[in-house]
Amino acid sequence: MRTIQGKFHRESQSKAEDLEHRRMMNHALNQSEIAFQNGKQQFQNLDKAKEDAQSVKEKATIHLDRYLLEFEDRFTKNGGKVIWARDGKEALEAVWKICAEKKAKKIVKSKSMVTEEIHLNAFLQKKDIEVIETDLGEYIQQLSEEPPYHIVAPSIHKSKEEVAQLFHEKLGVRPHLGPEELTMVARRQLRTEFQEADIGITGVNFLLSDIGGVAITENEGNARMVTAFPNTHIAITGIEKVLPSAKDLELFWPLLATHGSGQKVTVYNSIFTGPKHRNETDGPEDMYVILLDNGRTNILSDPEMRESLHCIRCGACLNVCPVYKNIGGHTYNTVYGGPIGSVITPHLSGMKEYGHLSHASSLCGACTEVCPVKINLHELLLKNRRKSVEQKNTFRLEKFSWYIWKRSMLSRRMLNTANGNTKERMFRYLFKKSWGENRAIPTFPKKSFNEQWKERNSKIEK
Amino acid sequence: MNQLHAKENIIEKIKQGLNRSGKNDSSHEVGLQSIYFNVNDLESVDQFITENSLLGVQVYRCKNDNEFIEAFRNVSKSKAWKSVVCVNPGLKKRLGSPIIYDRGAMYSMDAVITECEYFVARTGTVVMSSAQPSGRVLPVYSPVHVIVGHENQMVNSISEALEDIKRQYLKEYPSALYFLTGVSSTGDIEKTLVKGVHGPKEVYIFLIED
Repeated sequence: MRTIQGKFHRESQSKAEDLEHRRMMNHALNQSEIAFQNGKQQFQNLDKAKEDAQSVKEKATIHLDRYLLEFEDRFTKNGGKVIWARDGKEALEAVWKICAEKKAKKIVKSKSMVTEEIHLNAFLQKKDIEVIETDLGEYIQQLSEEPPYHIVAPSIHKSKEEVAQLFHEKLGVRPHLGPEELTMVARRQLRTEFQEADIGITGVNFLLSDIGGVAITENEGNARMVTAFPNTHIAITGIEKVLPSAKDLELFWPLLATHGSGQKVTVYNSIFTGPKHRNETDGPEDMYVILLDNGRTNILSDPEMRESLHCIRCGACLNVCPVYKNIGGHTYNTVYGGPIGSVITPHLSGMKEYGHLSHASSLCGACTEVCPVKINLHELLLKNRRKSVEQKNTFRLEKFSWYIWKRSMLSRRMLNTANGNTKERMFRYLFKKSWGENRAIPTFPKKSFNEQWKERNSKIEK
Repeated sequence: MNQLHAKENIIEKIKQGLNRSGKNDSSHEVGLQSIYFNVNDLESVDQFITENSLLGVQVYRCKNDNEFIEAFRNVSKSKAWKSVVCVNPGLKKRLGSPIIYDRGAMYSMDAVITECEYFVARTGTVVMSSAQPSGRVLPVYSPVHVIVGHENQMVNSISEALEDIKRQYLKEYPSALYFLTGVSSTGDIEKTLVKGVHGPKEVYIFLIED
């Protein structure tokens, strides 16, 4: 437990002092901000849009069981198959069973955070199945054997020179290619993979219960390829992705696009309601949707945390977070980084192991302000802090320090007897480490406020 | 692993977790009227064309079928397309040019020409479906996508398009519905916009008045 937290502290410090990292992140996140400001012009009343979206997600969450069953019913009638998975292990087993049935050797994937959550790629590779990420950012991350740095922009931290070098080393192309040429390399490389793959695996942006469909949002076209060529399509999703009706997309597609990438709507928004119909030209013979719980029902059962399930994974809270900007995505050491990651990870993977993330926040509230479904993120961070302390996940020194602090603050006698120097020494002794090396320890006045007040009043009286 | 068990288990956990006894949900009715700058019918075609020019998509407005055929031939000549794939028999016959092939030429095609289900004015979106003869692969695999349709296929919003699709396919939804807005693109390398990642690098729309 201490090691995860300790590692977080060490890496936060080194990343915060890494000037090249800061330059890259500032550049990228500035671009996101400019795009967002531009994209939101389409809304006559953005705040109402956000309120409506919040309301729709509330409705979806409060009747989650009904909507999931309705989804299953419709999707099954459309010819698809629904698989329920309580945890990552069950989801992996389900994928493996399909792979074995189809004798699959090669799988192409479009971007999906939930497959990161269950570590699907590592699992399949162990089973000797080749898995290829096809979103450009994910492809870059896969080549460099790193997890995504950002939930929407996986390779946001890499300079074009680094990507050029990576492609040169791993794919044997000429060195020093520019972004356009690099993109064309990926296009060529992946075209054959789409056609050779036995199975296509995608994530899901929205589960549409009234029509029994899944909606997938993207800009590149790889998700369309993944769901067009292979004979089998598996979509994996958290159970919280439900929207009651397809017509809610009129609201959610633009909200997701504006907050995720600053567009009105993304280039490709697709809805898949099942496998190829008999009278259709092409498409997969089989389509599966895996509904994953993996701790989400724990969040649901906590009324205080429930609203964190409304998240549509747009990444806007990461883009505006001063902590994310300075420490970067990998430092969190979690699948979901940034404010939303710090909120949900302790409930998915353990408060003891990840409670410290909620303390790594200035509580500035930028995340709450930008959230398209109005999740009260910074308040949820505070609630996590309280839960973490209640579960006694604190250091002994910290508890002792606050005990002394409380005793001193409640004792007029102690505050007056100790002079400024003594107070400073005490403060240094108790809080030096948590105060941090780069901040000056506050200086205490020689006399307490109480003493100064008394002196001042007696002077006036005289 | 017991599938039935997993399902029952999850549903039960949701029910218990929500503890809904007597509580009403606080959600309000959602009305989209005042959310976007909405488009009226009179300006919808103009709005559609403006949106697409911002997205880097050229829209050709044609008075009738003949004008469309001529305009298409001009574009295809100026782009020096050697093979254009068309799988819609009616359209193929109308175009009647020797450079039009069927599906078999797809791996060497310069462009594909297809029809569409709807146009959405507010966002400049083209709606397609897997129920059309062009299916899933062709329109995304081709380096260039040419779309032809009539102005009476224009609706103002995404929800109108969804409503119309629902009416049109009463019995069963197409297995795939596509809302295409602009050209395949990425910003994954230093936020530099690059077009034509996996889908078409160029899109052309021919809009025929009725």
